Amino acid sequence: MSFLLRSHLTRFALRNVRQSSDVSFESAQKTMKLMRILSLTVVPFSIIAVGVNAYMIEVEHGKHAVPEYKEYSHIGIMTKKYPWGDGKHTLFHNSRSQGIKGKGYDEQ
Amino acid sequence: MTVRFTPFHLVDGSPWPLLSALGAFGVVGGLMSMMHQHLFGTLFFYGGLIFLLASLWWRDVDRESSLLGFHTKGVQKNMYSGMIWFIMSEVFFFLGFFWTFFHSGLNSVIDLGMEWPPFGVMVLNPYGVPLLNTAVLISSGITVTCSHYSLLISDFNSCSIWLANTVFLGVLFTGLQYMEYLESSFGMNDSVYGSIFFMATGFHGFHVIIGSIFLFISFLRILSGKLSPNRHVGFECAIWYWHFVDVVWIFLYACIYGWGSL
Repeated sequence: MSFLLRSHLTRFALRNVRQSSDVSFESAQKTMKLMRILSLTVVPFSIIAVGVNAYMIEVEHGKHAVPEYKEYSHIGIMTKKYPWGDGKHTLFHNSRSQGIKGKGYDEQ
Repeated sequence: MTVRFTPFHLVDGSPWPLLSALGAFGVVGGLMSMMHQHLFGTLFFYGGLIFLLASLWWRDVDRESSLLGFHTKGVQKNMYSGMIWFIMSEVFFFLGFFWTFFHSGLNSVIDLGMEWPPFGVMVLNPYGVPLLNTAVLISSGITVTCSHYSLLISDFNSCSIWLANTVFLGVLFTGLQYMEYLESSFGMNDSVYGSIFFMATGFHGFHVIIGSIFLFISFLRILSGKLSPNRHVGFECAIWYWHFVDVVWIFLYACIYGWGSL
């Protein structure tokens, strides 16, 4: 009786078991060859090309002056102090381009 | 020697579940005390404790699977489906943030100047560092596939090399995002745009860190000989998690960086 229960449990637990190791060695080798080519060519090329482009954009962006500080009600909302520092600066506060209400930019 | 008659793993008694639950309680308590202007030492202490307890718990799972041999095919199957359920729950977590973004973005209000992005918010150029981040994450998806297939053909050296490359790309992504956060001209308190931007990208960055750690642990397990071509449940789950993180970034890039900057 308990043997029947055990075999039912085993069959139930093992239904639809499919693992990546079920893929054949030959097909895995073929896929590996393609992946290796992509990883050695497309990956470094794309990262370098897009990286150079991003660097040029950042350099160009750095040349622009920061716009004059203007206070808006929906910008720099401060209904509660932060539990660090003076309570007025966000965690990644940018002193050059994020102003504090009532004060303006930290760095002029 | 204990003889077991089920395909399931009947775990031995362990202190980690209770301690982890108490640690999680401490993390929530620490967060609350931080919100009420108290020092956040409590949060860091319990956060660190959770990290330690989780590591100890998973160390036991690693030993049960490889050294003790408790993980039958049935157990492995349940591990796989458990991971799928977990990733589905994470998908819904991010869905909430995307809902918020589109709710605010498609219903302009007078407070934000009747436009999106809100008046006064200078959005990031999507063709700069965000595009680089996209290239980095998609590349890491390719290298992790390379690593997986290396394992399937029993090339352990290539497997560990490509996995190390993947972890490196993950760390590169985190570093680039950190730099972007420091350089951005808007903060979390700059209208609902800033709030949802940093919540969505912040939680995504946290998931990238978790995914990188998960892949790094798989890297260590490959080096210690615990994974084989036929048995690598943890590694496969780490790869699924990494692909999920990649897909979430694609959506973030398209919706928030792309459409959100128009």
